[in-house]
Amino acid sequence: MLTQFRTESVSTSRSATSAEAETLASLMVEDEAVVSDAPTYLPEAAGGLLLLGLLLLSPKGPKEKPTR
Amino acid sequence: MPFAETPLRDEYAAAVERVAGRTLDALRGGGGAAALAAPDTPVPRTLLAAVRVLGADLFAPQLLTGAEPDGPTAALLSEARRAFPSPAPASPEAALAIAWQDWAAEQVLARTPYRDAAPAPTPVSTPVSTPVSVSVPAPLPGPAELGWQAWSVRMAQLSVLTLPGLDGPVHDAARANVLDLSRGTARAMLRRDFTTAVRLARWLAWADTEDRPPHLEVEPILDRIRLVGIGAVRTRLELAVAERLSEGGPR
Amino acid sequence: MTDTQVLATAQQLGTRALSWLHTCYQGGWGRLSDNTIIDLAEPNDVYKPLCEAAMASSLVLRDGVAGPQDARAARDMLDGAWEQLREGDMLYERQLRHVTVTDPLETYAHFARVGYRHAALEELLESISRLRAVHAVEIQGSRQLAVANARRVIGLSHRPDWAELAARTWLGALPEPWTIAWSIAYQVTHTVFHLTDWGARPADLPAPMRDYLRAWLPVWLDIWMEIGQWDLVGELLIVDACIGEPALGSSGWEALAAVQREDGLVPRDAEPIEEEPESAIRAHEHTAVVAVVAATVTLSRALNGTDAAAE
Repeated sequence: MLTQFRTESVSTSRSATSAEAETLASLMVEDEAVVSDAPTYLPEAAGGLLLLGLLLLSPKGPKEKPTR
Repeated sequence: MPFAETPLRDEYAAAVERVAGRTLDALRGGGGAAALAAPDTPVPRTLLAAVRVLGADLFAPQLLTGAEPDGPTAALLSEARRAFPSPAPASPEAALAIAWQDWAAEQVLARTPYRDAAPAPTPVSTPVSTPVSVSVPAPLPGPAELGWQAWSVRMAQLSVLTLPGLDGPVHDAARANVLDLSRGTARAMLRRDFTTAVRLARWLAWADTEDRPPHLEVEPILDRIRLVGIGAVRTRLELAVAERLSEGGPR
Repeated sequence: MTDTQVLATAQQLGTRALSWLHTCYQGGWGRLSDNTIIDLAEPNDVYKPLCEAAMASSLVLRDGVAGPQDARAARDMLDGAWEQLREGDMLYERQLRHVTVTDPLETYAHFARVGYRHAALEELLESISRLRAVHAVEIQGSRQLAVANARRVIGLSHRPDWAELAARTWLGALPEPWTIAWSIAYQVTHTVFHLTDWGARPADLPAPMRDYLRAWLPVWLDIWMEIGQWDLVGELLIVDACIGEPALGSSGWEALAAVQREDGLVPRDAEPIEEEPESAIRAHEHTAVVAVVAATVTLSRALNGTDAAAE
């Protein structure tokens, strides 16, 4: 004996309203995230080394000394 | 695009979460049917809406453990398709996605006494002879036409097709474009769009079972998604499916 | 966009960026104050931009694909920088005093590449290259490659183990591409720059790294284009010109061309550009350098084939 269900509504095959139909579609087909959360600049990681690394990543540079 | 939050949408979305939760429990519990509704009792319309949304994924617990789709769930899905025959998508692209999701549902239902002819009124090609004689929707345009980014997002919307036992032109496109699926996955991960990422990871796990190595290790991705903690139960269900597929579930 | 359109876009992007840079230096921006360099308190302030501009100019002259006006601008900037470095004496004095710093070596390479030579400095560099200490300084993988390439460009006798150096980079591990961070991206790009000597030696990029880049460059380009990280976009375009057949299409070039200002400034990101001219130059000078190099190396690869530069 096949399982049967009946819906709560009076008619078992009431047509979906347009709001129901649109809502269903929006839940069935979801878009990707609208806004990207891709990685960006991290201050502590940059250390000022871009095309040319110069001094090592020390906390401070050497003190400017009077030269010659 | 962002959809206006309405009470109806909130209601349906909450029901989707509940049904996804029951299905996830069944999947984690080793398979077997989720008890979604008692037979011979009135079924709330919102429950049917949720069932309509999840479609073939309701059978994930059975299909991923090598079992046949069960009668009660099939009856419920069949009733849901009768109650809500025509979701109204906002675009032709969404319509095609729904057509393919419905095709997947029909394919699974055809293995039960509840095979039906509930229409999906979205674009269909001339009926192709398949083992179960359901008409096949038009194929998606490929990544060459759409760009790998847009194509991968549309494939994510068809993650349900990765369930065991399904095959067709979309699967052929997946086989032929695994690198682009991988790129789409990496892109979603970097954008921190984990919902899209996990859906694409289902395809990568599927590709692995098809001997089409995905260019990306899938398990670290699934680990990462599990760790960052996705809120939606529906997405956690997709993650569990991806995990099962990647363990080499039955085909 | 067809390939030739990409080249046309690249050429225009580069020539305008070069013109902007040249104008900045002509306007007296970025002059080293006398005798600052030896103990260098603020290396990124003026010295680093000066060296970057010299580098870009050096590649323009090396690759020989620029028009005469651009070549003159490049030569101008090199002459000006060399003069500020007292024809190399400043680099010599700095290296003499600070044995283990590498910036004199790296800076000098860009000058040596196109004929500015300093005999005493080269002798000094040879000498310190014989010290264990110099090779044991703790620097990250992509920087070690920078040093190795600088020695190679100058023609010093030290021979690095390129394969080993390449393996000791993030890129060399062929990692999960979705883990990349902003600063790691720069390490990746620089790994490629130095292994290939800025596109002159694409065959020197190990094949697994090249295949990895071909797979994932499109993803990285896409995500950073989406959030307007133009400086990084430019660097990825340089990489694309260093791997043989390019893996990226035209979209990165189109995006940079679209954000480039009338005066040739290329914004480094999507933030509003500073109004104060000095601040604007400081903030966006690097991106102009990137644009010049990207255009130069791309045109050179397309026009000259694999051997873009004389040794």
